[in-house]
Amino acid sequence: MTQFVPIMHRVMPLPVLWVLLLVQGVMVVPFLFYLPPWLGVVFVLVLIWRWRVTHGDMRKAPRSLIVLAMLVGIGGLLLSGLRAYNLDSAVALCVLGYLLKSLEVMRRRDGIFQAYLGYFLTGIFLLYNYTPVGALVAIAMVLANTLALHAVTADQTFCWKRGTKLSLALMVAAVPIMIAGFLFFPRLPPLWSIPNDERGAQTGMSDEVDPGSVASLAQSTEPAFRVQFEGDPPPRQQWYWRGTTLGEFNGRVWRARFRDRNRFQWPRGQLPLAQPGAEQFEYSVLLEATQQHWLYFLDWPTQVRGQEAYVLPDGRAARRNSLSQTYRYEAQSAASVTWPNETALQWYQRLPEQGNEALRQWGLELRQNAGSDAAYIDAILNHIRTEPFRYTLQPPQYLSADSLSDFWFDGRLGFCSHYASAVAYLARVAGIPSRLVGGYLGGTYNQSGDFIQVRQMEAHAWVELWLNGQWQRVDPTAAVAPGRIDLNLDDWLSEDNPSDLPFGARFGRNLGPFNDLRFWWDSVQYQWQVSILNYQQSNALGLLEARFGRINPWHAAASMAVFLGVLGLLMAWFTGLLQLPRRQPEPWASLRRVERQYGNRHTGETVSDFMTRLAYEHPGQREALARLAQLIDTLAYDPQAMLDASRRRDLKQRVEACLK
Amino acid sequence: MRWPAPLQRRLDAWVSRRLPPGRQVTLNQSRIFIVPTRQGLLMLGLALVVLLVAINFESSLNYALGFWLVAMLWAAVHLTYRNLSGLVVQAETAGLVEAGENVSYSLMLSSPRSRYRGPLEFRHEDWGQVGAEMDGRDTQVTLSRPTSQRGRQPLPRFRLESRYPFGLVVAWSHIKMDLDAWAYPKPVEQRLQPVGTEPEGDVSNDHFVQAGTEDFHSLREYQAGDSVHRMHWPSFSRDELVVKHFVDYQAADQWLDWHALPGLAVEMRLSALAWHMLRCQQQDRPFGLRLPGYEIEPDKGQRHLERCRRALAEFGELR
Amino acid sequence: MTDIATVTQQLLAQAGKVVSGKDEVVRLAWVAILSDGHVLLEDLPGVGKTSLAQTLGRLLSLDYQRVQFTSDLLPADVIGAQVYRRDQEAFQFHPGPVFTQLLLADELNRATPKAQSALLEAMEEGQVSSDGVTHALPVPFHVIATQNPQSQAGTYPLPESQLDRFFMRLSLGYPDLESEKGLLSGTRGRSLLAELKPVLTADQLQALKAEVETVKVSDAVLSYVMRLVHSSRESGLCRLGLSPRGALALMTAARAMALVEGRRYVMPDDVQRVFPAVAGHRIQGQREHDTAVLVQQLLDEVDVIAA
Repeated sequence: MTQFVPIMHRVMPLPVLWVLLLVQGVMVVPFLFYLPPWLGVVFVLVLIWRWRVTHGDMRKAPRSLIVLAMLVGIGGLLLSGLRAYNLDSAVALCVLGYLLKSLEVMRRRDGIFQAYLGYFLTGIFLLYNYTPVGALVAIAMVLANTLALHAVTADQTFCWKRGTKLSLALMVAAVPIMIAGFLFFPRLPPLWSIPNDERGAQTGMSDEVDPGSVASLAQSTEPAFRVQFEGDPPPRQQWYWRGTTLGEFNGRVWRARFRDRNRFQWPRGQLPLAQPGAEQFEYSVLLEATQQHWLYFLDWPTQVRGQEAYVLPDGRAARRNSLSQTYRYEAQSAASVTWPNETALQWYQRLPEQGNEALRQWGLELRQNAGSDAAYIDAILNHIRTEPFRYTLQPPQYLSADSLSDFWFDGRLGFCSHYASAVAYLARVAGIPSRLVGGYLGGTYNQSGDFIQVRQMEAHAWVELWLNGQWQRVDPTAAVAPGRIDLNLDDWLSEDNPSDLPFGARFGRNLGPFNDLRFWWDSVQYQWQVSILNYQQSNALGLLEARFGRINPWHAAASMAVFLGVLGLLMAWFTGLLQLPRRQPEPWASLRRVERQYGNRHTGETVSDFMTRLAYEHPGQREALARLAQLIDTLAYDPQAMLDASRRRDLKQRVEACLK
Repeated sequence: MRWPAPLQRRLDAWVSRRLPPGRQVTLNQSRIFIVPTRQGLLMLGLALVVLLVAINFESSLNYALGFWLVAMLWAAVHLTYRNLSGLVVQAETAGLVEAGENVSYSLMLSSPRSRYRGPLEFRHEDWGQVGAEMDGRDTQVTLSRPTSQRGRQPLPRFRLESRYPFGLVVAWSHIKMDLDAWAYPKPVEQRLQPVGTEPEGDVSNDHFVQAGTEDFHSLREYQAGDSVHRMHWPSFSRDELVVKHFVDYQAADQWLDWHALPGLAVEMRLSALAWHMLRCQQQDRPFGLRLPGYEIEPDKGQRHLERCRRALAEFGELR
Repeated sequence: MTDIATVTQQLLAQAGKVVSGKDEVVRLAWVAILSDGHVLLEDLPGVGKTSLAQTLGRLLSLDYQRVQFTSDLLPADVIGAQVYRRDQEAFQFHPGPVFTQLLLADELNRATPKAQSALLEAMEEGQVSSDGVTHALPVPFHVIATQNPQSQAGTYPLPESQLDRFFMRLSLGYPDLESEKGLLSGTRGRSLLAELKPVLTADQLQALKAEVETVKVSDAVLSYVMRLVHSSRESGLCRLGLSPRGALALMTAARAMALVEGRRYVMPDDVQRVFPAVAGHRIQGQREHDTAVLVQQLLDEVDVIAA
């Protein structure tokens, strides 16, 4: 007798194993860009094993081998320097598991498991790459896994062409509902906070700047953020995008007063902000994920509107959670502001006791010669202009304890951070409160998208000095390289010193079509960000919350249940499992009522037979029932009587009477 | 899945009412049931996890992915439903076998429009699962199951299901075909008793005589023990010891008669008749079958044997 | 215009004098005649088949002829033959007994298939042809054929295709106790036949027949008839389902029945009432089921009211 093999335990045929292998490749390769490269090696090893399997050596990998591989893999993860508890390591572990699980994929259940894990990994992949290209890759991943699911189910009858067609059909058919869900499902705040939600490296200005760090940023052509102005943007020279304010100096590194590390010290509550002058700018910023907390503004910020955005008193705004996602906020800046009284000026005057003695002496001397603080600063900038200082992307590394002195007197080669650092130091030597500002300078206006794109390459550092009761911007870079203020770094360098440029920035600079394409692609990405990635958040949720009050997990669960319920009902209705109750017309409704009272009519019984039987069972009702039978029969079968409303009324009344 | 007995009875009754048997069954809305499989529910769970990721990581694209997965489950319902919808199952032929052997039923699957319907599974505990791939207009399926007793072997109500193409949902129908196979009795050797009402037949061949008392046949030499009453006296006068040899004539065609097996139970008699049939067939002798109220004229050959076996199998059924 | 319900009452009352206790059979036969159909009476000898036929012929004032079918009956004995007339020196058609308005074909299945088919052809076409000359039969023309049960020896059973030509198959059955008592005690029976008064003229009969067509059939009833017919073909109970001609006959009979009941529209009750007589001889079970059982099963299984 044929024994019954439970479906999930059926062994898959070779072509299906091939499909699974291919799908695995599609899934793993995109991850290799984000994870330690040795996972690629594991992939190749798995591939070799599976190759054997698909060539007929239908054996599972022995358990010991899998355990060993798992241990080696975990060891590898630790050695790769991934921290124990963050998303990167969790994902790496997941991918490793995905790879090793496939060693023993043999039965249908395993195949399904692989496909489902594949879907999940697709979601994870989208956390890393949410560009349009990433979305295309994700679609390919979904297709691959759907194909795998199909192959597993089709079993012996699998055929590439039909499988691909069906998978595509399924995906396309699902699109309308997906769109509906995407548009109408409320975006919810995180149900719980994810610890160490860090994906990839930190980018942008950090809250610690040493002279070399900005120069390394300048090697990257990645976009940092995009700004869209309401109305006209300010003139190009004023595109100083402010990020971190660094007020603490230890002789080499500048640090922010409120740092990411000790967030408990952050001030709470509303703080006095600079009062805006007449000329104001309204704009929105779309900030790429930086894994940091700092938001960027046009100098000088006066207001910020964004989810959990937080203004700090040293001219910065931060977000409680680090920016693991593209983040959009609206802000207001003024060309000029009046500052409230600074209460912590002495904080901006502190210097380390030791180090850079030569520079200190030089500064004190210069201050004595200059009549005022302002003249002193002018003298310093003049010094930079007249002496052979040079602005370069590849300065020497000033590693000694007297790095500033070395730069000022010997090297004279530096990037913006070197100059800013030296000038701020010199100001403090003379007792002038000073601080470094890290941010970006310049940007590219994109005509088609009407936004300014700022790349990492535009990273910049400048100085702020407290003079005449307010903070004033002093940019020493303007002294050493006046062109940099008007031009983006790459434009400026390509005129001045092209060899400093990173290759990517140099390539295709002067090809018109290529530039157009780049602008077009930038604007596509911007639209993608604004309309897809940042869909809703404010509108849909705001509307919903206004109506139903604050969204909490229970509401979320309830709305999800309602969504699925509606979907289920639709499905049931479509397939005929669910039939909407129809109102029966007379005389059938009356007949039904009689049946409910006295028991059902038999299948082959005519109405009069039925009534006769009832009359026999209930002799008291004999005449009423006979009359009913006659009425129902005429109403049902006599074309002339059918439309007679009075008969229908008569029937209803009689049924009422009969049923009492 | 097993239900408590009364519930199971009601369920069965309901299924029979909703899905009456027929020679030809067309699968339509009222006959096809469809629900997500465990695998499909898992997909739903997966979609929820992806949505959770979307919420917690504020990942817009994961919202899209999550809803996509849910929507794919929904779309899979249509694709799977299509596999069964409009399918016509037609009873073709059913076999005739000896009781205890496997009997097979053949069904024809056809579809008004030529369409690939993927692998379909016919399930019943008697045969486990039998698969059929439906590509194009029609295909034939053979189901087989063991028989235990002589008589009618109706094709039991079986389950026809399809999980194709993604296994996320299963569409099925319980089908009861009006198709009967027959099992003839297992041959058991029993002696036939002569029956008085043999119809006359021509004796043309010594083959069909046996020693008896009725008709004079020939003379043969006396042997010790022969009855004196059978002495051929005229020969005795010539000093020859010769006895008369009598025979019973047997009809040229052997009648296998129900009444020739008195004292046996019904099934035993049928088994005996089956045995004699088989023997006649092996000896290439013609035979006729006579059952109460039914008669098959003597004949030879495989077809005749089948016909007689069928008569035995159907014995006792409403005719 | 003649009121058909009254006519029916008179007819039943009159016929009841001769064939008592068989109202329903008489009514069905009346329905068959209204529907312009032929009737097959299948029953044991001596239950009054001939009386019924004679009674109907008389009551409806139809010319009546009777042919006893035997195994040596020739087609010419039924339809007539060309006879040489010496005085005219020419062949002349000598019409057979079939040239009448009501023909009683007694013991039809005793005749050879050849003779049977001569009659059946005449029934079907309303004319006979002899030596290439076609002769129209009178109007109306009805045949009431009687037949002994099939199992009897020396019979030539009518093939299915021929059976279909009979509009109804009726069976009288033994009389009930009351009627049998009357039968045995009185002088009733065939002698009464002569006393019967016609209730209709032939022309009136034709007019009534025309009315059958005007009886209305609602969609609900049509659907019921269709489901019955469909079920006879599809349910697996029957080897041979109801033919389209059978379905049409069923519909006509139901109409006539409604008319006989004095209604101008058909009810499922009418369909159920005529169904055994109309369908009984047109369907066949998987095995040799009693078709009466089969017919009842169909009526029981098909829901009168569409779901």
